[in-house]
Amino acid sequence: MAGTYVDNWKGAHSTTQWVWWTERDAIGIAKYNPSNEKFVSASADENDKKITLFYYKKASDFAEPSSNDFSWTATSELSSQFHDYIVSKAIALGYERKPDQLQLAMYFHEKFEKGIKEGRAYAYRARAGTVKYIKSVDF
Amino acid sequence: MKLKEMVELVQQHHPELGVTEIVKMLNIAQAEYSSRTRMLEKATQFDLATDQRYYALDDSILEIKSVDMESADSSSDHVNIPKLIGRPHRRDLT
Repeated sequence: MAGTYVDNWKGAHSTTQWVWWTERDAIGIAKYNPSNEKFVSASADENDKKITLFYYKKASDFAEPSSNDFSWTATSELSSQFHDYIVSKAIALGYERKPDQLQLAMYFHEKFEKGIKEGRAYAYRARAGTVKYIKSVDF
Repeated sequence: MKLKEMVELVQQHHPELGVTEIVKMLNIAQAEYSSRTRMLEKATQFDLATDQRYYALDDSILEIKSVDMESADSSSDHVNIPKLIGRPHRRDLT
C-alpha cells in the first residue's frame, strides 16, 4: 500500500488527504494527492460539510462616541485582571505627545510590557494550573 | 473594568484629551495586547462549497490554531485535518 495512508476525513485508506493552508488573507482547503502533487477542491457530495476553525483573535474595538453602538458600560474581551495594563498603554500614548514628560511615557510603557509578560504566561497556562519552574542549583 | 472607568483613569493623567481620542488609544492598546499575548481564543464554522478552494478570513483572526472538518460518515463527529507545509506547487485562484 505504498503511497496510501488513513484518510483523516473518511477514516479509510486513500491516496488523497484533506489539508489546509493560508494565503492572501484566506484559508485554502483541498484534497492533496502527494503522488501527483495535485490539489482538488470540494466535490458536490462534500458541499455544505462543516469546517471549524480554532484561532487566536484580536480584541474587538470599543465603539467610539460617534457610533450608535457606543456604551459607557462596554467591557474589554480581555480578562479583567489585565485591564489595568490596557489603561497604562493609553496613558503612555498620551505622555508620548508631551516631549517634557517622556519619562512618564516610558514608565507606563514598562508597566504595559510587564502586563504582556503576565498575559503570555496566563495564555500559555490556559487556565489549567500553574507552571512549575525548576531552578537549577550549583552544589 | 467598564469603559467609563478606563476613560476616567486616562483622564486623570490627560484631562485635555477627549473621549474619542482616549477610546482610540484604548483600542490601540487592546489590539497590541491581544496580538502579542495570543490570549483570546475562539472557534468559528463555515460550510465547504463545491469547487471552492479559498475562503476569506475575518480581520480579527490573528493565527489559525487548528482546523476540523465534519466527518464523511454523516455523524456529528469532526476530525482534525493537517496543515500543509508551505504552499501548493500548482496554484489556482478558485
